[in-house]
Amino acid sequence: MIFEVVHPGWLLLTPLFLLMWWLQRTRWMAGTTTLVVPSTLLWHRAVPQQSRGVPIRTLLLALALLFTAAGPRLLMPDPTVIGARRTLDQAIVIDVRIESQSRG
Amino acid sequence: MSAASSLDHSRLIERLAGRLRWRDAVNGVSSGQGRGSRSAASGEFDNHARWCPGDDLHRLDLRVWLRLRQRWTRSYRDDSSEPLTIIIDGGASMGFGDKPQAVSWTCELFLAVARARRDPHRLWILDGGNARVALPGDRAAVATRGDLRSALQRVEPTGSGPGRVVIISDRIVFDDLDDQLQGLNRWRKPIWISPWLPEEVSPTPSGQVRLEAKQEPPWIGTIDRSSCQRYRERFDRYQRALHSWLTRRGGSHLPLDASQQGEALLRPLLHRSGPLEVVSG
Repeated sequence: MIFEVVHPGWLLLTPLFLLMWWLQRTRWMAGTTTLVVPSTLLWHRAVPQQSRGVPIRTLLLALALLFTAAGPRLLMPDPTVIGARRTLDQAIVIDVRIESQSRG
Repeated sequence: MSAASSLDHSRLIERLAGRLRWRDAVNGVSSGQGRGSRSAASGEFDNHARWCPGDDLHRLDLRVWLRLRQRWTRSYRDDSSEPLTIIIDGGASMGFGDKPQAVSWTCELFLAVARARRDPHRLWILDGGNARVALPGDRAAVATRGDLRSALQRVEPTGSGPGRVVIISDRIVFDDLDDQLQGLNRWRKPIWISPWLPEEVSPTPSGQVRLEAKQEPPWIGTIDRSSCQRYRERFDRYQRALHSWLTRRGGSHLPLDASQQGEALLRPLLHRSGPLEVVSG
């Protein structure tokens, strides 16, 4: 059984996506203005507060989507079938099994 | 505030109070009713006071003027015999911005009116879940905000009966009004004064913010048009609920713009829905 991904480039781009997300998040936090007000109770009631923690669920979902986009698949190699596989440099390698030569 | 301006405001309040009386009686007859009027006032003669520009000419004592060529007014007192209980809510928000000044002036005016009418009066401060009689120089902002229900139950009416009650509080979030304000059921016609700042009533969009308030958890989010709209809707809903609760008990709710000063601050108290009125004449 062979596991492979059809578009491994998506997986290689994952650190880049994470970096972009982190930069955007840091910029948002840095751009927040602090205001002193008499009371915050009504704000808590009226408008839901934006979460300050790391959104683990959202991150996991995004990574799962990336992984799915990369096209994972499992191959069951059949010796009687001519198979094609793609290497990491995007070249397609075709294995050709010739019956007469394999016997000889 | 400087000592001179403080003195000016005290004089202004004293002069205002001499011309004001409670709009409604809590128990039966209101002040001055049933008595003959004389020199545009009612009640018994109390004292002479210097006539000042701006005073009503009706109040000028003509006899003194003809005899001594001096302008004096005669003041009369209306004894309404209705004790006044003023309850000031504690909490850090009561000490924010111009609120302490607004609370102080409002409170001074009510006390001055009570003094002018010879009404017994007492001032309470709610501190945490407790209530204590205010001492001179006591500030509501130093007190902590606590459970309103238990604090109101600890306020004791004056010995001569419950009389009139005035609550000065900027609270707006109430989960269960019947439960939290049940301590007010001892008084008839409770008067609730809310000294609010404009930014509390109607906030403006200010982008991504972290809102901080003493003794309260911070709020982080984006204040845009829609969030301002939601805030105002919730504010109006709480305000209507408070107003409705007080109205059902014959009382009234009066919001004050705490950013105002002097007469502009106190003028709503004299409106039709306000607890005070100008003595006619």
